[in-house]
Amino acid sequence: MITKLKTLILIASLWGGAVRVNADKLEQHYALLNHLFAEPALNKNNLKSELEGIIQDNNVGFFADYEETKIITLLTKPLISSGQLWFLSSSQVIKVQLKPFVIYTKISNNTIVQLDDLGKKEIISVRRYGALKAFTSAFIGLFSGDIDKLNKHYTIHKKKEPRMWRVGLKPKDKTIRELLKGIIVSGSSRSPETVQIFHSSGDLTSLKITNRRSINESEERKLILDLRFEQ
Amino acid sequence: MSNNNRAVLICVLLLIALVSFVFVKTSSSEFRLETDILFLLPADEKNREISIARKLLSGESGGVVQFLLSTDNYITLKESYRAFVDQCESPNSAFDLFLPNRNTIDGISSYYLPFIYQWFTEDKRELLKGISPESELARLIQKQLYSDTSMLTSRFLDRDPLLFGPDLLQQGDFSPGELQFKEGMLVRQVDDKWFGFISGKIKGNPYREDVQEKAENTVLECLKIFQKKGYKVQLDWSSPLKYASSIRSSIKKDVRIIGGGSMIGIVALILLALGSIRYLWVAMIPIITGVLGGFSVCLLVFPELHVITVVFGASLVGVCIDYCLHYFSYHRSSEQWLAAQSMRNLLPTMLFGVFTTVLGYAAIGLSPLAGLRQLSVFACSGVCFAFLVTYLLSPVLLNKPNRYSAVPSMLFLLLENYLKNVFRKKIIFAFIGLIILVMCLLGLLHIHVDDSPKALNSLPSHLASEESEINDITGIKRETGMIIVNGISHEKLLQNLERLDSLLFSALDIPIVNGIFLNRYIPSQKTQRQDYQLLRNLNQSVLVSRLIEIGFSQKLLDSVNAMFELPYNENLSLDNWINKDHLFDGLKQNYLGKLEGRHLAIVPLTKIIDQQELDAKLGDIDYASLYRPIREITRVLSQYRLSVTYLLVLAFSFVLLALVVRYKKRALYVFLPTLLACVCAVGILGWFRIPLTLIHLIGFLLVLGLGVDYSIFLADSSPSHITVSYGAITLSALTTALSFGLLGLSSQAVLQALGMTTFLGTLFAWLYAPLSRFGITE
Repeated sequence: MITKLKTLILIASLWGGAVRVNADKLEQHYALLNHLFAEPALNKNNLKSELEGIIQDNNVGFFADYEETKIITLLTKPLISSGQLWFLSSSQVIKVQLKPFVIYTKISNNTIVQLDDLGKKEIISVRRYGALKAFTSAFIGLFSGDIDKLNKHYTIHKKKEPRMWRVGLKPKDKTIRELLKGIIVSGSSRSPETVQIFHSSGDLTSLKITNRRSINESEERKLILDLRFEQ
Repeated sequence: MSNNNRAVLICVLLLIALVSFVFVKTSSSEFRLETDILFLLPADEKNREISIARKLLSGESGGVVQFLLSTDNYITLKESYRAFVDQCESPNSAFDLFLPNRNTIDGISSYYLPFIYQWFTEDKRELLKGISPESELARLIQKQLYSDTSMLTSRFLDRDPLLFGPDLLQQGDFSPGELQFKEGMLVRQVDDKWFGFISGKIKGNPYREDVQEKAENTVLECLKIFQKKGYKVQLDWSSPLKYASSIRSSIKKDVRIIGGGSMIGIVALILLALGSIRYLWVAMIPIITGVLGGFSVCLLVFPELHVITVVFGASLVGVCIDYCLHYFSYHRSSEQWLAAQSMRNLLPTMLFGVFTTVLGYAAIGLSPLAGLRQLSVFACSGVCFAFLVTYLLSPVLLNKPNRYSAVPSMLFLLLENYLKNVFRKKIIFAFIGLIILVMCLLGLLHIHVDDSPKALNSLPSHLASEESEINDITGIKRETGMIIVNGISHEKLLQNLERLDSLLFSALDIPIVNGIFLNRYIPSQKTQRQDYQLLRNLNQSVLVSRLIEIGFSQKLLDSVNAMFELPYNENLSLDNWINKDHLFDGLKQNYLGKLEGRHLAIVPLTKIIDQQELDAKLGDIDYASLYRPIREITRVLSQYRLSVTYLLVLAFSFVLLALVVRYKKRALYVFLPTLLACVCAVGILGWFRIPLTLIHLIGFLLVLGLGVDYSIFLADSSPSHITVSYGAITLSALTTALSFGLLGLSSQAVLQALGMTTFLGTLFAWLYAPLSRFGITE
């Protein structure tokens, strides 16, 4: 009986405190998104010049470390994961999640493939889900510098701040907006350092990218072979 | 009243009766012409599956329609899509559209939501039956929450805290193939082109002409609107209705060409050979009576007439005229003309001719093809009516001798010379005949048989390519066959479907087939009860503590706890599922309903990975059978081809027997021309690499009926009348060859085969007819 009571108190305190902290954080982030979307969308004709110096326009492969924080309103604590992020010159993003458990994710134009440490593979066709298509397009468009790809799915809003830039991506499609409210990409150099994905449910996913370096073709090949996605 | 007046009265009354009957019947609202080509295929009463599949292929599925809009820009697609939908939703439209919307997708999720904790995927069942299922389940939930696709899955977290729903919905695959849902439309972009897909249902019977016209008009209206609004958009559509409509229009064209062509040809031939317009209108009466008579009897006997029967009716013109032609030939060349006496003289031969012709046509009636049975009834009754009117009316209308009887017709003079040469230089002509025969026999080496229904089907290629394009864009997979599953109740049917799914797909590492299994959308109560119990077997407190570790809020935990208290819900049943309007429209047609005391469902197969294994597995079970339309129909047609071959041998034997009774030793000579005609016709088909089908064999039955007539008339003719008889035979053969030759140009493969065979057979039967005079001293 006492144990049960203790558990209940523990749950109540955890839930009460954590949910409040998460809610505060989320409010701030959503305010930022709304603030960014209040800026007029960039004109289609001068997108390239506006985004010059922000998004790299060459399709070069790179490797980076990442840390992802997912705040789901119905959970008492954020879901934090970390690992490596690979962008391949073939316009594919590979996320190697190492913590809290190992899982590999390959994001390409048409599919998201997930492979767990036991080798179980799950393929999701993004064509079937507009929101996922918009999500993969954002990732690939950002890392490859494909502004047309971004512009196809999003209106682009930019805010230049001292020492950093912030770009807001607002889905053009109403149906997609029912799932994905928007994306904020920010950085201080010529590449994105933070990607925040705002879910319409009120959830938020933040991706921090650090230690970015270019990779060559042989490294790409080795990665593909090692991960055995094709098997 | 004199005999002549009585004969005229009978004929006039008969004609009035036939015209009135046909008029009344055809103007009735119940009258319709069948255009479904499958109607012609053999009725296989013993094989229930075949009949069911045929019902499926020609019935409900005929009402499905798919539209594809394609354009270069998205805005135009959106506007034209709206305009199209508005037009199709107007009261005058021929279509009911299945429009996708967010409500449909959410509706499907909401429909299954109350049942997600009593129906699981195979993976989930394994997990729940495994070691420490609570921890494994928590791990799986955690994995889903961390996933990049969690934006889709986690939005239902409050209603589905264990995240069972996404997997379950994925199992059913409600996604529209290659298409995506965008602004209320199902669209796809390929390179710079945008495609919008809309499916729907035709209001009314797609095989009715008025429904077909209405559908085509609706599409035309839409195209006019696009043009008016300046949309540069292409509209493709595909439906069995389009095929039926195309067949109907091409058959109408055939009727005009074949009927009109053979009529013009016959008029020209009669004028050329007999030199008087009077014969024409005298000949018209038996032709009209024959066609009307055949049509009337068919309307009486059959509830529905196939359009092919009507086309065949047009070609019957050439046969109905045969009997008058003999009488005309005698009239044309007799200076001392006694109308009634001449008819009496000709009567035994004509009757014997009618007998053998009807014998040939009646043999077609024994064929298994429903459509050909109609042809048989049409032809037999048509010939009898034509003969009756010829017998009664010709002596009345041609009671005076021909003014030019002293001047022989050019055709008759030519034939007289030809016949004289034939009988004078028997060896030379026999040698020529032998060479033709040998050449044709060599053609037999190239003959091959084709029992595939494709050989009988003439679907327009442009419609097939349009359908194929729509399938490519939408990702709709073509069916390669289907499995028909049965059960004594809904529950048993679903259990059998589940067993089958497990046997062929879900329980195998390498599946044997892939297809659309209804049990993936609607499980049996047995499965639901088992799954319900499986989840309730979990240790609730252990699961809750694992979920707390992930970070589940109290709200979520309350949901999990409430889930354990949920009573079993019986509402996920086949009855409810079928009655759920619009949500599962595309799938519902896979349930056929109750037939012969059993509930039936089909599993359309999109891929057969191992045919042998599939046959073996299905061979061991009694609740499911494989139906591959082409394979099954080919098998049935092959069986019937053999049966018709035996029938042909039997019919030839009967005719030979009748000839032996009448001609004794000379019977073989009378019979030989027809036999050789059939052999030569097959040889020619061989030379042209035309595959031999069931229809060709049926054509030979016609040749038997016609060819023997020629031999009989020639064999019965006295030496003084031989030119007249051969003239009549020549005219008869020419008219028959003309009408059946034109039939050979028909757009329908069935008619083409029948026309070609009869044309060749008639030609050779005429060529070899002089053989029937062998054994007679000239």
